[in-house]
Amino acid sequence: MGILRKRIVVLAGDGIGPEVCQEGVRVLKAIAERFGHEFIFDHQLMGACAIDATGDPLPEKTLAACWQADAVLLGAIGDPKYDNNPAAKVRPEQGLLKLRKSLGLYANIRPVTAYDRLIEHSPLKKDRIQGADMLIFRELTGAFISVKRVVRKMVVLSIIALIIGGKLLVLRTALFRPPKTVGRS
Amino acid sequence: MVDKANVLETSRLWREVVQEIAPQYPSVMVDYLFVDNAAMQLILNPRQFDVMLTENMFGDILSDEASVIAGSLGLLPSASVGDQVALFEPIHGSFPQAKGKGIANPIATILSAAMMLEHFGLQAEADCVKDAVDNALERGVLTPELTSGVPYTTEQVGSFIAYGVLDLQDCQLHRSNIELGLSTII
Repeated sequence: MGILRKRIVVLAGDGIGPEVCQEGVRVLKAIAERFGHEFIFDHQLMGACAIDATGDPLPEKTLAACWQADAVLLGAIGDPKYDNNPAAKVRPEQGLLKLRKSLGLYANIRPVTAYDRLIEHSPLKKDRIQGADMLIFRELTGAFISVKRVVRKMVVLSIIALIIGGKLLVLRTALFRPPKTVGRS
Repeated sequence: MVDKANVLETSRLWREVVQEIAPQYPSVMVDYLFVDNAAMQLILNPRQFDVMLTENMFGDILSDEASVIAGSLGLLPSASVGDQVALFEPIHGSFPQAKGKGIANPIATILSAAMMLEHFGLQAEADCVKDAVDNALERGVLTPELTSGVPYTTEQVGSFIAYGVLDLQDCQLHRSNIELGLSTII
């Protein structure tokens, strides 16, 4: 792979979001330095911080930036002052839901690994979880009840294509520790 | 494939599509599980699963359940993909009580960044980040929720991993600097 130039929108969000995003960006910068890539970081507002600044959990400017980007790194959104006020009409989470919809994100992928070094931190018995290593693919459009069957079928097909159309292998090698390292510690 | 095809029509649609496509990929072994059984199997024998495919609400519930296996929400990344721009985020929330205290675990976000690199097709780069994270875990460079010993701050963990990315061999050398607060990576 040659040298890449990528534009990454960073939505640090609320609470600990900015702190953890700072470290994510730090590591991406280290990768860029070591491998000679160019990553351009574009920090934008979403969530409670965006409501405070603009009144909108997903300002137009943020959405436009996301459309221009190659990828989006999100910290976390949400603030107790909205959680504790069920009457609030404008809420941080609306920003994320709108963003998912606008970007047409139809699948969520979560790798789950039992790390040997941390196995004692799980409340589950060690002998059951040791070596556990999986990918959870979750459909994300959430509109399955109302949309037409043909559309639903297309979404299902897209997700399955994503899994078995080669991505699966790539993701597995990328996200999981290779088998040789399991049981290392 | 996790569903509730005995009750839900949408689940039958999933099965229909999966059955239609599965024969084209003989190397992928497909199994069907009802969601109630899947929730139980996930705890009884999580090793049996390589990939779990499911609809939105079941996935929402099962992925939180599965997170218990990893031992901390602070370790788990996620990717949301569509046809164009993809979004990468830790699965944990904004944890407002911890804001500004330097106790949040940055690893879920850092692994989300690794998923982003993979999405860009940068395999070696993604592996490099994962190795550096592994190294931090192995060496006990951990935030408070994962250690009973002296914990590291969010920034120290991030810096240690960034050093690891630059040069894993040199990591140990840099550890003393990080402990002294002399981290220079910005």
